[in-house]
Amino acid sequence: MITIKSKKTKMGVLLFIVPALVIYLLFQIIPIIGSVYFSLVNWNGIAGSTPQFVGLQNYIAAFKSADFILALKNMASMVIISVLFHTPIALLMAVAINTKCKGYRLFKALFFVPTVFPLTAVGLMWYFIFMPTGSFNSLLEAVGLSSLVTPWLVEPSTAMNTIIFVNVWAGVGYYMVIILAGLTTIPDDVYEAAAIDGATPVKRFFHITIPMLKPILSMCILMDIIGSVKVFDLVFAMTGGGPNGLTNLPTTLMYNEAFKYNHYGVGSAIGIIIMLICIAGTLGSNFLTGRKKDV
Amino acid sequence: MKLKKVAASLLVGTMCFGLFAGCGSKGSAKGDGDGITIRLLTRMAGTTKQVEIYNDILDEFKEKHPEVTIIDDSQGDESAFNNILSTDIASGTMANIFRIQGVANLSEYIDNGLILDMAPYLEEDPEWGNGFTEGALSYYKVPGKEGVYGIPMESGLLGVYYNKDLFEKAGITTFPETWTQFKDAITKLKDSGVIPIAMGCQTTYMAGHLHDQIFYKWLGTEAAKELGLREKNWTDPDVVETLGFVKELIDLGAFDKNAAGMTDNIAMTQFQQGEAAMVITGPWNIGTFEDPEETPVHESIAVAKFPYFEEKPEFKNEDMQTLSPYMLSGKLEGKELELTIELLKMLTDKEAAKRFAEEAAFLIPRTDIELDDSKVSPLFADNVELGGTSEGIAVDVFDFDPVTSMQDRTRNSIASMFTGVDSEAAAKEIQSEVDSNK
Repeated sequence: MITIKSKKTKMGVLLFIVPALVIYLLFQIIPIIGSVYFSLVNWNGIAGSTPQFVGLQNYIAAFKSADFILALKNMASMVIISVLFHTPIALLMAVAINTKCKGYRLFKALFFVPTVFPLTAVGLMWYFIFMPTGSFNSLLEAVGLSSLVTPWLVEPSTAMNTIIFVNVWAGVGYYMVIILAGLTTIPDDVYEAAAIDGATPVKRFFHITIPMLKPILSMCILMDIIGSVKVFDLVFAMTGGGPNGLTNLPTTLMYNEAFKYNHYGVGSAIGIIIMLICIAGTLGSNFLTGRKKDV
Repeated sequence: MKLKKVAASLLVGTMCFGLFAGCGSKGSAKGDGDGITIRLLTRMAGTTKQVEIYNDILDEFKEKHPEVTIIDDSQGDESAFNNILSTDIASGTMANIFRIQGVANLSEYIDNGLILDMAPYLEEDPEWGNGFTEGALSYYKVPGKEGVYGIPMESGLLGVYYNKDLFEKAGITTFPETWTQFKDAITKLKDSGVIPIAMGCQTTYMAGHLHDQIFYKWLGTEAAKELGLREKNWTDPDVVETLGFVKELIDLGAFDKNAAGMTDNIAMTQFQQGEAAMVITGPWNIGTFEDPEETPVHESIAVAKFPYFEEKPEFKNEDMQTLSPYMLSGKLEGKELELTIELLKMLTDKEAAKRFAEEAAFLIPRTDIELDDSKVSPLFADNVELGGTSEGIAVDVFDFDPVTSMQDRTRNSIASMFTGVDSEAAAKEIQSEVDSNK
């Protein structure tokens, strides 16, 4: 416990805390309170009209909607596949780059590039690759695999998986950089001692690298869960939720309900459900990875 | 040390100022000081000729009233436009001049004082007010409400634009007038190696417009109102038949095999490059179709009405037309209202209508425009002539539906037919949206 005795220091600390606190209150806490309120009322989105309290009706309406259930399933696929692929691939890439092999700086930059682009731009780029007359189908035809040519973003069986693939591609570089930063904190002498004791590189990886990276890896998984639940721009840019709503996620449904259809109640209820899922994902991830509070 | 503290304090102060400055609304309808601010939220954005004329008129107004600040928030992109409009409606800070598409929900907006009744101003200035076509003005007379709640600023027939050369090469001498002739023409065009109808279902409105055309020719424009009033269901056999005709065209091979995954831009390019023989669109594309740079086959393009069904000759002239309004905020008063109406008149009077028509092939539905035939493009003149024969006019079928999600629901379900969904399933899906909102 740190005690600040000087009045001037107290003022200084306050001066630096207040702007952040104001921003946090204005853009996080107040909107959340507002969303909770709107999720409990029926409001047509018109200024001047009185919202009517409907209790949990908006939540019930959301869960009764086949579109929302489908969006939840899509979100579950997005989270599971992203978590299964992001961190392991990022870990392997980071370990490979950390060997400081020839040209590692170039690979590091190349792997990180997708993270620099806005997701909307990434979505558009992949849309042009996967569109029916796009370069991916042209490539398949060129190598004699015409039978595999598919309208990837239109075919109901491939549309969602294609978006998930792009999400994995776009995010790997980000997690790689985080893990790479973690790798640099592992002292070389630990590896040297293990090598002297006869540990093979594979054993060093599983018995030194992974255990010492555990806090970083669990943070990556946590961020991945939250990030995957919140995906919006990729779907918006690549399919707009189509074909026929099959690639909608709760985020895109929330946008449609609130801003396109003026169903602010249902839109807000979906927003709160997304927030609860994020909290549950955080708690679940912490529980599974055994992350302690003081880590 | 002291200097550091002062610098830190200033920095924090600047951050806070920047934060709150960012929260300021540029769209405030209140005047700056003694001046007045007029904000516009229309779809007039981009680089087209009509936008150029629209901007010229705004500039003329600025010259006339230098004390007035004009803020033009107009958006070409539909999503961006809808986002701003929704925010305005929710906060009650409507732009002085704006537009809302569709008429089914206007009643709610009127009840909440968001839209101004234009009837007194139309009567007050007969030279301006009496110039609008009766049909266009009556579209904005909302059932159960006194008055007129929109000033029509764009109209025109949504027809079939076709490539005469490709038709001739396929052995078709005249554009088909009936559904049977239309199907024959499609078969011939397909056999000649071209795409009969350009279609991009990724942007679902193209599939929606195709169904709108079929719907009005099979059931008439009044049937769309009956759907909106729940006197008719989407699962009624005659409505399902309209969806069945879409399926018939798909099965006939009327569209590119990749139509389901293509955007409107790609489909339009196919038509403009002479790869597709027809496209269903509105007069807003006439300028593009007549531009040799954008449309190499511009000399071959003509326009016709969508074919009618031999069994339903009574609906031959029941047509889909585009109709867009300017609306005024119901909260305007005093000098601000006076100046906003002056600007609205400048944007829609007969001089503006003449200029829009002759220079941009953009039709404001007025009866008092004296067009110079030498200045009007043939395609535009044909569109105006065809539009003049309409006996029943409607925009999209969902325009009359009070459920706001019906635009997406109908278009998505119709587009899904391009991926194999049948007409009954599409009809059930659309009807379920209606039922779930009861």
